[in-house]
Amino acid sequence: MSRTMSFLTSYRNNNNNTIVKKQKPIKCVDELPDAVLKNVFKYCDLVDLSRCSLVNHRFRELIEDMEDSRTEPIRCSQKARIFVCDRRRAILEGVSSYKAVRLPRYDAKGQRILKKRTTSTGTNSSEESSEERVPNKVQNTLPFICEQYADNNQSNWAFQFDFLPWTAKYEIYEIFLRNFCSFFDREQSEMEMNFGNGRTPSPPRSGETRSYDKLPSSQSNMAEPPITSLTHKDIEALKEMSLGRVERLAENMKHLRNVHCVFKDSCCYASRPPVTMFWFLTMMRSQVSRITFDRCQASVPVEAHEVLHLANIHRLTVIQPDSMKPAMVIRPKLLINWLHLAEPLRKKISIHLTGCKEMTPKGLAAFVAAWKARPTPAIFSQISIDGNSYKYNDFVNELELLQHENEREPPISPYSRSFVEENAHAVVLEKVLVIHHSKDYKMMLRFKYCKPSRRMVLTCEVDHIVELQSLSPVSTFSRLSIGGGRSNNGSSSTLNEIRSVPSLYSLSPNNTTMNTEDKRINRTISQTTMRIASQGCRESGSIVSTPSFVNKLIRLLSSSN
Amino acid sequence: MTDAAQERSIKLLSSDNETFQVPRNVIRLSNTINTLLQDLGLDDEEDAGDAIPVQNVTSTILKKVIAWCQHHHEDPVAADDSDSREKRTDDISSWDVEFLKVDQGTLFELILAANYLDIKGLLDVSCKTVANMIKGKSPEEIRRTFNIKNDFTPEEEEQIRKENAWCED
Repeated sequence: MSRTMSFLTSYRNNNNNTIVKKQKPIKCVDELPDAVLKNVFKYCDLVDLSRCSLVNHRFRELIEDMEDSRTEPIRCSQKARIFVCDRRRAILEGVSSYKAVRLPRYDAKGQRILKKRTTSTGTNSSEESSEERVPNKVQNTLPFICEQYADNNQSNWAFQFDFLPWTAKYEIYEIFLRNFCSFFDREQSEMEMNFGNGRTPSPPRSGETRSYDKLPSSQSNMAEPPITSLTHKDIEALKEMSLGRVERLAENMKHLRNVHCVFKDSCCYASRPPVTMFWFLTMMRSQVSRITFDRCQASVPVEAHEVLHLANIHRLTVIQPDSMKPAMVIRPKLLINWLHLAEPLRKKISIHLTGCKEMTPKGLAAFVAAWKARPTPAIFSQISIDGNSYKYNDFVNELELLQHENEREPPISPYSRSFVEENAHAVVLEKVLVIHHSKDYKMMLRFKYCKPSRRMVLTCEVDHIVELQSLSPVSTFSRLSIGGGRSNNGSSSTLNEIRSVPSLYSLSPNNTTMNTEDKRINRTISQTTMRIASQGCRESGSIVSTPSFVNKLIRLLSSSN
Repeated sequence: MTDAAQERSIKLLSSDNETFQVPRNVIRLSNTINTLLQDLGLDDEEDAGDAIPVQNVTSTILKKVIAWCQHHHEDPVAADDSDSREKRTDDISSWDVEFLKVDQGTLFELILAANYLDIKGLLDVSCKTVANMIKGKSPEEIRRTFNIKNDFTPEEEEQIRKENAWCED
C-alpha cells in the first residue's frame, strides 16, 4: 500500500497531473486547476476564447499564458458582419479590428507582477509593461472577407448557410438583412398568375434576379387579408408561407450573441407581410440586442407595439421611408410596453426615431407621465426623435402641461409662456426641460434639442445636484435666490432648468430642501414665493439676490404653514 | 502483458474506502494505474493483493469512471493530436453525451478524476463538454452558466471595453 501511494504521488508530480486537495466537492469551473482549464480552452475557438478572456482575471491570465506559448494569436481580433443579400448568398464583411489589451497583474500583496514569459522560440523575455504588449497582430480592416452561396441543387436550399466557420473566427457584430424575405412577394405574384396553385416556393433560379423594377402601383392586391400581428394563428400562416426557410436562417444564426440586426428594404414588397421581420426577431430573441429598421416598407403597416418586444434590447433605430408605405407604425405604446417590462429584461435602451409621425408630443408626454408614476424609475439611455415630424415647441408644450398638471397647479396661460412671448424659434431651441421622478427625486428626464443632429432628445439622468443637496437641509431662501433670473412662467421646472445650468451649480450648494415629501407639501407656496422673488430679482437685475425683508417674511410664512 | 494478466482483476480503493474490482484490461485506460502496475511489477503477481488507493476520487465518481472505461476499453487507441489547433467538439459519441448529462459538480469531479488517473479519452470528452457549454455564449452568459464572479475592476472593464463587443450599447 505504501509503495503504491508513493508511486502515485511521484507519478502525479512527474506527469504534472495536478489535483486539488479536496476538502469539499468542486462546484464551479473556476475551481479547476490551471492545467485542466487550459485543456478545456484548447477546445474553444477564437471567438469563445476572446469571450472567456472577458469573464474574470483567472480566465484572462490563463488565456494570455496560452498566447505566450504560441506564435499565432488565439484570441479573435476582428469584428465582422454577415450581410444576407438574399436567400442564396451571404457575405462576411469586416467591420473593424481591435487589439486585445493586457491588464497588469498583481500579487496578493497588491504588488505588480512583472512576469517572465516564455516565447514560442523558447527564449525568456521580461515583460516590462504588460499592457503595452500587443499579443495579437492587428489585421487590416477589409470590407469583404468571404462569401458563401446556398447550394440550390438541394431541395431546401434557401438560407442554407453554414455560419459556424465564420462565427468561430470572427466576432459577428451585425447581421444585415437586405430586402428580407422579398421572395414572398415574388412567390405570391407567381401564385396569383398561376390562379392559386397553393403556396409553393418558386423553382430555384440561377442568378436570383431581383424584381426591383416592380413599382408599388403595379403590385397586385392580395386576396387574403395581410398578416399584421403575431397571434398563434398568424404564426401558423407565416410558417405555411415560410416552409421552414425563415426558421432555417434563424437556426443558422443561433450561435450569434448580442448582434445588431438591420433590416433594410430597397422598395415596397407589397405581398411580403412585414410581420415576417418581427417573427424572425422573436426567433432571434436571445441573439439580438440592437435592432434597426431602415426604410422598411409594406402595403399594410403593422403596429410595432403589438409585434415588437423590447426585452433585452439595448438599441432600437427606426428610419421610416420617404414613401407613404412604412412597414410599421411606431406609437408611444411601444415605449409604455418597454416601461412595463420586468427589471432584468428591461435594458437601458436607446431609441432613435426618424420620420415616425405617430410618436406624437401627446404620446411622448404620456410616456413621461407613466415614467414618473412608476414606483421606481426605469432607466433608459435616450429617446431621440427627428425634428421633421413635429416641432420642438409641440413637445415642450406638452411636457410643460404635464408638469403643471402633476404639480396640481392651474396651467399657465399661453400668453405667459416665455417662448410664445418671445416667439423666437432659436430661443425655444435653447430651452431644456427637466422632469424629476415622482418617487426617486435623484432621477430625472432631460428634454432638449440637439443642434448638431437636429434631433429632440429625451435622456434619463441622475441629478447630481439633488444628490449633493440631499446631504444638507436647505432653506427656502436659497430657492428664492436661485429662482432669480427667470421669467414669470416660473414653476419647479423652471427652477430645475436653471439648476441644470452648470454655471449656476456653484450658486446653489445647499439650496432646496429635497426631501420629496416636504417638497410636495410646500410646493405651491414655494413656487409662489419664487415668482415673487424672481420678479424682485429681475428688477434688481441680479441673478443672486440678497434676502430682503419681504423674502424673509415669506419664508417665515411658508415654514409656519 | 500476458493473457492471464489481462484477465486479472485489480482492486481500487476510493477516497471513502469503497473497494472496486476492475478487470485489468479495462483499467489499462488509466495511464496512472497502468504505469503503477507495470513499474511496480504488480502485473506479474497472480494475487490481486492490496487495493490501489485512489485518493481524492470518491466512490460515486470512481464508479462512473469505471463505467466509462468499461464502455470504451475496446476502442482503438486514438492518435496523439495534442498539438493540432483545430479541435472539434461536435464529435462526442451519443453514449458519452448521455453519460455526461450530469450536474456541473459531477462533471468537474469526473474531469479531475480523469486528470488524476490520466484517462485521456475521458478527460478529452469531459473537457469538450465544458467547452460546448462555453460555446457561443457571451461573457455574462458564461459567468451565469458557471456561477463565476466578475472580478474586473471598473477601470479594467473600461480598459477592455474597446475590445469587447458586449459592452457596447
